[in-house]
Amino acid sequence: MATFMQLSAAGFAQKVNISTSRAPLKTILNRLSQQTGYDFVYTEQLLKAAVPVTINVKNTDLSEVLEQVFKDQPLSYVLDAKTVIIKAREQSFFDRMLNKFQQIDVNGKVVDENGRPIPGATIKVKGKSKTVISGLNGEFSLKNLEETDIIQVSYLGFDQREIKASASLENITLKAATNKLDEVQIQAYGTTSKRLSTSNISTVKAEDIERQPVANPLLALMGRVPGLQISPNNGSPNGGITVRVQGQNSIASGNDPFYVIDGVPYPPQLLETGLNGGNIGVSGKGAGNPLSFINPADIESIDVLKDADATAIYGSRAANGAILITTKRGKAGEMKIDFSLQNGFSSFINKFNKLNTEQYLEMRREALKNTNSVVTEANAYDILNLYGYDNSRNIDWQKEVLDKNSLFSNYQMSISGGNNNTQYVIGGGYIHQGSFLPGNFKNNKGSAHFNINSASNNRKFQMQFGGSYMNDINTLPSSTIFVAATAPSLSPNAPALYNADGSLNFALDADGLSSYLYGNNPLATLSAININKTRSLVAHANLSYEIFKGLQIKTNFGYNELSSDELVTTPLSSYQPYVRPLVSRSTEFANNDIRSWIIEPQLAYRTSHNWGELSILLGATAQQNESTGERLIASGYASDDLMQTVSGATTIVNSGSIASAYKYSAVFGRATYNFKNKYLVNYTIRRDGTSRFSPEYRFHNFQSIGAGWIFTEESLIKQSLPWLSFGKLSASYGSTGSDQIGDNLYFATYGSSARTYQNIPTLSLSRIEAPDLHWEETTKLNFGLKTGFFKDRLLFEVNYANNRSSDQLVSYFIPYYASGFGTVNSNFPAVVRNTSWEFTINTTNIRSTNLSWTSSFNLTIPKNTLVSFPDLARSSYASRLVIGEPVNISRQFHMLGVDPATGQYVYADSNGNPTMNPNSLTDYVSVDLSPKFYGGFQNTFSYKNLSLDFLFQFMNKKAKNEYFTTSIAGSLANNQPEFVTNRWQNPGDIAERMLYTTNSSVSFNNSFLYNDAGFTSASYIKLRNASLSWKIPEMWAKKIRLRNASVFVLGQNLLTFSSYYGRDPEFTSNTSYPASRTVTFGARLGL
Amino acid sequence: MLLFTACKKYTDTGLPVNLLTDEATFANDATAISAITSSYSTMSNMNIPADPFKSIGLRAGLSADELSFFANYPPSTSGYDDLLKYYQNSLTPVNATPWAQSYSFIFNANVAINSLNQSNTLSPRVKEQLLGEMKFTRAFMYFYLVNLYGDVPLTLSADYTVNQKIGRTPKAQVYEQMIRDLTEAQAVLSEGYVDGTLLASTTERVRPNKWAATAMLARCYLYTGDYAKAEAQATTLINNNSLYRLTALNDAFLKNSQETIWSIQPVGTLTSANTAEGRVFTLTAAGPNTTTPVYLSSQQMAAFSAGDLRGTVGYWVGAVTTAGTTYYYPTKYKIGSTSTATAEYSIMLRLAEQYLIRAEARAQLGKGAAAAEDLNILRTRARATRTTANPNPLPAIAATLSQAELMTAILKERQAELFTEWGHRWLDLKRTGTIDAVMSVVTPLKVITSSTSNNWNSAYSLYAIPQAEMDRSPLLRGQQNPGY
Repeated sequence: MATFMQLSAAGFAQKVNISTSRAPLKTILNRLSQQTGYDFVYTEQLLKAAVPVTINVKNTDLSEVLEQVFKDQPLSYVLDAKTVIIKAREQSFFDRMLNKFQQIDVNGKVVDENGRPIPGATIKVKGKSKTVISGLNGEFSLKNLEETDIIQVSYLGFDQREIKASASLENITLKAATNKLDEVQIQAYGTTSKRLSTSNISTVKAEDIERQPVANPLLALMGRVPGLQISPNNGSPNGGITVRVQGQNSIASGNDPFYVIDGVPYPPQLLETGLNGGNIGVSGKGAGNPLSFINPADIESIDVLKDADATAIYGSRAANGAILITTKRGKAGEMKIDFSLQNGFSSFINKFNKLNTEQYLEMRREALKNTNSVVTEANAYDILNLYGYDNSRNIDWQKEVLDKNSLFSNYQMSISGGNNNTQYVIGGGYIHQGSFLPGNFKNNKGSAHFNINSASNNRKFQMQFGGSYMNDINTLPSSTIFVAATAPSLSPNAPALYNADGSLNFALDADGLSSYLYGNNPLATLSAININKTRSLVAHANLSYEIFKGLQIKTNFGYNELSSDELVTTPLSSYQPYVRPLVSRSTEFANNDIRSWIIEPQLAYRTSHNWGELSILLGATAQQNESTGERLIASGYASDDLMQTVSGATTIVNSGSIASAYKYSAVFGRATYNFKNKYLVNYTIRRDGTSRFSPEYRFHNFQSIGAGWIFTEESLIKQSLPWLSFGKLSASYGSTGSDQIGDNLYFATYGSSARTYQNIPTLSLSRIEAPDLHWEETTKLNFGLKTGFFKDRLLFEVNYANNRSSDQLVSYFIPYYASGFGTVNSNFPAVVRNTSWEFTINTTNIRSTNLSWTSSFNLTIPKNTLVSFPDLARSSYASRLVIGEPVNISRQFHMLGVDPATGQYVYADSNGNPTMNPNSLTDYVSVDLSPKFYGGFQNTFSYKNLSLDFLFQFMNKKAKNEYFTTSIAGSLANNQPEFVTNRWQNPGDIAERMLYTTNSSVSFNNSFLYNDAGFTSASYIKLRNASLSWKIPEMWAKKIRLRNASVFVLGQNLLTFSSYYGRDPEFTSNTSYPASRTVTFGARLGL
Repeated sequence: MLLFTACKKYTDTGLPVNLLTDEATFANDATAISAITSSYSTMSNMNIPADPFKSIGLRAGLSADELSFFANYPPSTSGYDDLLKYYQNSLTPVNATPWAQSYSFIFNANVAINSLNQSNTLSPRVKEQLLGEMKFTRAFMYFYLVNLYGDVPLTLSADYTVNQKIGRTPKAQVYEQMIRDLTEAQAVLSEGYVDGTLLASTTERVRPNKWAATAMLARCYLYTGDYAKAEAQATTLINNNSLYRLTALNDAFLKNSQETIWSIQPVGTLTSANTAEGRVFTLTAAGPNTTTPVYLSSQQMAAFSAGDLRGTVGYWVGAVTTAGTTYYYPTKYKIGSTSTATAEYSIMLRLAEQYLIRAEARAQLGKGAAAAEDLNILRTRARATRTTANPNPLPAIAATLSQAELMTAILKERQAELFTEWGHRWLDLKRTGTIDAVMSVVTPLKVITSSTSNNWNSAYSLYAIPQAEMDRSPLLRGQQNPGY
């Protein structure tokens, strides 16, 4: 501490007597002051540099004595009237002297734009080591500053501010961050910023989410977050989404990230219903995505935590990264009412070209000729104009059956406001999505959301309470897959689907069977009713109390419930008429419920000194999940109209129950050290326990360390590279775990088999024991470089991650003869490595009063490798995996092409020689299905009140193409993609596709189903999102009594650029619910 | 430390409310019975043709010369491509096979036998009966495994890691185990039929008893050439005429008929009312189609002599004529609909087979006259009324036939009596060495509209071990049956 000393004494002689040997300077000065009455002014700091003094004088003038004393000192002095001022030798002493006399005490208060105090802000004196933290009321005081000192005030999420020291400093207002480096990033149990974090975290804010007409917030992340791969499994509302953070860690077990909404863990997967209603294209567990039941409009930000530094504190739950969702909070101020209303249409995109009638008939005739078949009613009714087939028709069935615009509506309202102590927000929303299938199918979401923050007057006690609720009703049919797959394959001359009287046509043949492809009118299945009602509730409360300055005790409480009721009817009308007498009506009912609660008490301490800033967090977690579900099949209804309750059924059978409990407990700690915003260190540790493993393997420790160096704070770099406004190198290393294998799997059990025999209930062996199950561990290494150029107008960030997952939790294949189950859950010492290069560039290209243009580009280059797999060749994974290749490969025969002699496909055997019958054990090549790179490019323009934003998303990968799912070209009543016309016709032809044939017994060896030609590039660039909005000038808005108003047009999935052979490179299945393009118009109004 | 202890306690969830551990299951009579009974309800729930185990009769029937396949089946329709491969004797290792299901029953039995032996809280009678039932079931499954695949891994442990170390076991050794299991079962199983308590008797013939074990023993001895024992076992069963008698043809397949030795009560989901066999075989007026894709082959129809009621419409065959073609189909089970009141059970073992076993054993032992006598008992039942057109319907087998002639007669009798039941024909062709002669003629004829013909290859008499199984077991690597 630099404190000024002033030695004073009054009225003594000028002559001095003094005799010392190696005495401290301070002692000499004391004596001089006593003898002469002169005042001596100096700082302790200065005297530290002084050398001991040896002097022997008698009755000598003070001036002479001083000369002698200071002769060898690194100090000089000034004699002025009755004062001696001591100063460093080099400096001009007048300036210094002046400074010494102008010390001031600074008192201030840090507030936000709404005047709310900001506690915990860091107040630093620039170039000095003085630092304090603002108190609960935002107040701080700094003593003994000099008037020339500059005070730096910074707080997370606000732009840093510099202000000249002044005794009369009042409120220092911080503005919400406009610099991306200072925007708040939510991390586990706290917040940070890009500037100060040592982790790899990416953030997407509400403004980007709100611009997208999507009903699942995860879809709003596509192309915006490096290292995050979002792959919708199909285009249905509420459909399944595969989410991977920095690649696939686990060969077989869960690869889902850990979702946390306002501190409450949220399930990554829905419970199995066995029904696929509304979530078509994916069967069983994971049909649909639970995040569909979170209203995107309620979200303030989504933070994606990737490396060990960010995730290790979540221990066993975050090996696959964590996605933190934070909902909107109220802001102090007058009550505001905001409306956002939009309406628009979704339409079916990416049709696939099919044969027209002329091409189709040519194919059929040639196929019959090639198989030397005599044309009969049975094998050629489609050519012979029988049963309603009509060669003069040419129908595009995709257009006929699927090409319907469907309505998309999204209405949101919120009321917010509050004062300095209490703020609130209450919101409600309604989202409607239709379907382009014929019929009135829809998915409606009604939701409500609230958040209340409150603090006591002294701000020591604070609480936050919030909740989100959604009620979703989905009536999309479970048979969409049949419709989507069958309709486009109907022959173009097939009979009309409806009779003249409006009833369904079944195009019956002579035997009374439907002659449509697969023996049914594809629309018949749509008469089955599916109703899936889902309710999601997420509620949380945080209480905190400051025990003394810097030490806070707090507790988070969370509760989450996700429940669904679903029914799918199979009425007689869904069958072709012939089958109806043979079957009975049945309805499947499924209700599922996931309930979980969590309590996390914590102690947080934060202190700031000359030696830096230290934050310590200690906490504990207790979490419990309960999953229950029942499935019933009711049958024997008397009428198709009575099938929505069990009451009309004569037989009710239980077809499955879910009852599982998961308990989880942990203690955790984190220490963060920040030295002068220059050197940053972060250490986390967690000890975890989960009920999923036997007691011996139940507990485990996870820890990580991260460090950062903001090299632009080094003065040398600062001076020599003035255009480099920010630069930080960071690195982190640590371990995380995964226990995603399902509950209670480590012991053998018998479960009810839902059937009675001899009137007694039966119990069947449900699994074999696996006592050695334990954690799958992922160690993560991350290097990061963040740089800002030209006053941070250009931000460039690169991260390199290297993650290794070992002790793989696999459902290991064992022979059926060993257990009858075919699989056993076990940890296997295989190692999977994921590396990922992640680049992000944010630029402010133009920033002027009227015009601004900002761009953001991100690119991820992932690489997944199976590093080791002991004894792979002899294991059950031998035919699926290859060491050194990605886990996500498909092993296929290698196709050489069409044999010019026979017109059939030829394959390569293991030596590369052509063969018609490749050996299913040896003749494989690997097709890599993992992406090579992916990313997004976003631009935002604004000119006066007009703003335009668009995002291109791109991905480079290979996938199953349309060939893969195509059957032999030429079979009865089955239309084919247009590319089949490039077929072999005569010996000697060099053709891409095999000959037309009706002989399906050649199908195994002659389709693309089991060879690498079924996989081609599915790379694409999509104009994922565009929005154009116009803010109505305030003058006008005021006239209609609105605080603000804007109108907008939003578009999702607008354009796709791809050379993919198929409908949509994103889904790679022409049987799934197709993607849609959505365009909406709307307005935002503020009252 | 205290916190960790608390955590330790906290993370004990206990058992989910819908599950029992294996120890708890076998701690008391009721749950132990429930656990064993699930084997039967599972057998019952399996659908024909979707499920390979339950449809052994269908698949083996298609592979042999018993059944023909629907000509216009939709290409690539799930499940039917598979059946076509069985039909055309062109199986590949990817085809669905009864392998996995059979072993599932076997492992279930292994676990049950192990747990039963360890439990000392069960009533002695219940424990004995359950042990017997499980040993019987295990033998029943192994019987089909060895006959369809040849040498198969003989796994007897409840510990999968032990079983995993076993490769293909010689067929003879598997038979030895089957005979051991059946002999032990025979000793402890109930004489009569018991209900769900295992203590009270019932008329429901839906649990294996001592006589089911006897019937399987007779069959195993016959198949292994131990003719004296086969004769002896069959005789004790046939002599138990208070329990077992031949009924009229059309009564034989009714539930709990006097001919039934062991049957399975239909309890499947949505298909509970009657048998899956009835559903898959019974043709409607429209003839064969995707739901009922098979009908009796011309070879099978030719196997019925004139005046054999078993091959006569109205008895064990039915006929529909559509588009000028007449299709014959099995009507042993007469109910094809699921919504009719239960009148039929799926018969696993019945008395008539025991006469055939004894006849064959006797023929092999040189007791020709007695063998002919056994055959004639069945023929008498099947004989049509004498008419002027056919004054000598289904003539009796002469007692004077040579052994070779007698064997031919027995094989033909089995063809007429046991058709479409559990693949008897396919197994008979194999064990009598007549398969190549018969199938080299029949296989090339098995052409349907959208397929080409195939030639018989004697390697196809064994089914392919599933590829998935070959992949899963290093011990099976390179051990596939020849020809695949």
